[in-house]
Amino acid sequence: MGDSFITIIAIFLAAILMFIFPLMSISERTDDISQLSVQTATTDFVDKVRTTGKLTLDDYDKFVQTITATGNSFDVEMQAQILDENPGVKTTQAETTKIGENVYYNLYTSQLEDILTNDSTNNRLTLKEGDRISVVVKNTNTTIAQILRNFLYRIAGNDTYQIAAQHAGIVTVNGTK
Amino acid sequence: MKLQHIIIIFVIIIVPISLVLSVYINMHIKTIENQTKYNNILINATYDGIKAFQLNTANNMYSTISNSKIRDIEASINVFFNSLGTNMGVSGYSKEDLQPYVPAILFTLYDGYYIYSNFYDTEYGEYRYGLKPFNYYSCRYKTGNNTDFVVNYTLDNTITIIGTVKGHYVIKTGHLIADSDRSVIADEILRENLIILSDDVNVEPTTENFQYIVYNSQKIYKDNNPDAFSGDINDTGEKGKKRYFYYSSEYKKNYVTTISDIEYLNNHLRNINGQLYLCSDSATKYYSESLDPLTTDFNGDPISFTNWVDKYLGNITPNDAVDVDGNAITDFATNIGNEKIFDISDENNPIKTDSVFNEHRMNVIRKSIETNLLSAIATFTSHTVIGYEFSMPQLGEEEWDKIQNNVCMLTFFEGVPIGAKVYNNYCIVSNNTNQETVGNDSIFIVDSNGEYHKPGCLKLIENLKSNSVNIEGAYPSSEFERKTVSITGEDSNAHSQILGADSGKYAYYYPEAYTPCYDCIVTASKTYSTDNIIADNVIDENGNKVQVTNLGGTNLRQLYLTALARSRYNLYVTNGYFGY
Repeated sequence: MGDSFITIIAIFLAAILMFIFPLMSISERTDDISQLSVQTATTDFVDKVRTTGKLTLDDYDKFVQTITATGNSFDVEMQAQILDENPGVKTTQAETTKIGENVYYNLYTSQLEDILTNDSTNNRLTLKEGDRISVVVKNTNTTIAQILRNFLYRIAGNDTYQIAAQHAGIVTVNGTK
Repeated sequence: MKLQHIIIIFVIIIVPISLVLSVYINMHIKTIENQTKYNNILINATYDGIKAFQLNTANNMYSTISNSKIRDIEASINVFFNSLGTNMGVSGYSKEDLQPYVPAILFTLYDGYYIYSNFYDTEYGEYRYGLKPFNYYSCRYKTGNNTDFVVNYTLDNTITIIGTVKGHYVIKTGHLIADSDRSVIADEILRENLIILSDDVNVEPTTENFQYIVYNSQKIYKDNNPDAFSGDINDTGEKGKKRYFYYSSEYKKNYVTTISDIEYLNNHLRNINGQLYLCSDSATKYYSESLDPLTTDFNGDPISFTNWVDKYLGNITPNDAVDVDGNAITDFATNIGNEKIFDISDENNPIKTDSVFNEHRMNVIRKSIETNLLSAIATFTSHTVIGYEFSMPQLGEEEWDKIQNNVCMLTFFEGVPIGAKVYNNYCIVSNNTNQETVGNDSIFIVDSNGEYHKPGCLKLIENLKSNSVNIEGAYPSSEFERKTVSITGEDSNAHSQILGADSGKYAYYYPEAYTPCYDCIVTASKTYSTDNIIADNVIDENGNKVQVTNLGGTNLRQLYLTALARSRYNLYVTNGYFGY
């Protein structure tokens, strides 16, 4: 009797150890690798915008393709901060800056996508030196690692994404056509 | 064997594998994070470097003089290392710590480039970091027995020819221009703001608008005092000596008192509707120096520079290009076949980016930089302390395009261990808002609403068509940047009294105080290309031609070409001393 009870526990343990543990371990590694490639792709994408001064549909498509090739679906949030160089009337001044100078206005993902899909703007947004660009990527699907983890224990909260990357920076050149 | 034993053996095998895998992947993630961080730091440091160059040259009246330029570049390289070092970590790194990982820094200028690297300094008999001797964008051509010469190119259409042409030794500098555009160039009135400090405590410092021309590579302003201009227009005496001034860095007007200079300036006064204006003829001179018969051919007959080049070098093709040993250069980046480089015509108009001349010019610049940079980086390996084989990475076409047409800083950062691999990257940042060069896209046009635009701004063109604005002028982009004036001594005290003790020793003003257009400059949306404006071939999105030569009576193309010619003429050309 005692022996068969231990056997049942052993089978149960064996199931966890032989299937769930390796599966969890491997799926977590898969997510890590996805994380790697997403991080690299995001940095490359943002740095390209920063050094060329333009955000093109081509680059954006390529970026989205690279990250979705990891087998996950992503929510891409882009934000372009356009430096408004008009600090009222430019006159003599004694301070390096004055109120109203260095104001940025923002373009968010949907506005940027509108510009990128618009033929009349040549499917590109040209930025100028001093503008800022930032991109945040989060996965929207539930990865296998997340499913398995949720099966064992559950993390409550809103930010339950597994793969995320972000990169931002100042544009260094005036974009040309 | 019992089931329990099998499980234990399984766990013993799997757990280490999983742990090792996890550690390995984590290390790679750390590596990528480091790489991302270093990329970011490198871009920022390079940007800081070129920005320092821009600020230093904009506020330095003598920035174009060779010694001053070297100082500005060295300052900019220091900024690069400081920025790189401070961004690295909490404690930061010094320039000396970082230098072994930076095999070369390339600094491209108007007529050549500097490479900052470790080289054997014969003066000290040791390897030192510093700027290697200046390299020109040059190419040697050889045909037959009696023609062997070198052409020094620049970022625009100015060239210098040195060597033997048809058996005659020549040194010539000039701009290559197709003469069809000449008829549109006219004299113009230029205006600029200057900061004026009043000794009166109640008066805030103001900017005042002056007319100016560039004479002997310096801006000379016409005073706004009507009294000095009453009476004889050619006065060189009492009144003449109060008419024109240089602007010193101390808010002072230094009046021109040399009689020959005053005569020259008086000759540039034009009476328009009863008012005297100082007219700049730089643009006309730019064209006349290359198209008027000011030089002589080998028979002693007068001929223009462009025609001289056309006559004697018209048959030169890229196949005639040779290296120092006299072997033909066959590996230019693009093959333009047997096209004649110096056969100037409307087709091969050097001012156009797609002309044969320009294509070849870009090839020469690329070839020269590639060769020198490659060897600089390769030799760096032989006396480095970190034991890394440095090599030059392959640059993309778009990056070469940037280098061939702009003032650029190209930095390499190699051999840094970052965990799983060795960091190896480069960064190019271009900048044309300086007094080195005026590119085709560096001209901004000011309208009567106080806004400035790119030449191909759609909104400007619409407004001109409907006659709702006029054009006030056109200036190179560097004139729209804020300038800093440092005040010392008594002036500093006066300044503090006026603006409060903490106002500092600097005052700022804009030479061209206009606001950028929201459509073309702030948001940088679609504009027509300057190439199409030069070619008068602007097509709107409905496929109709835009009449840039007559937009509600305004000839935009003329204004643009005049401003481009004037701005280029007013640049201080280093190799100009060879004589036009």
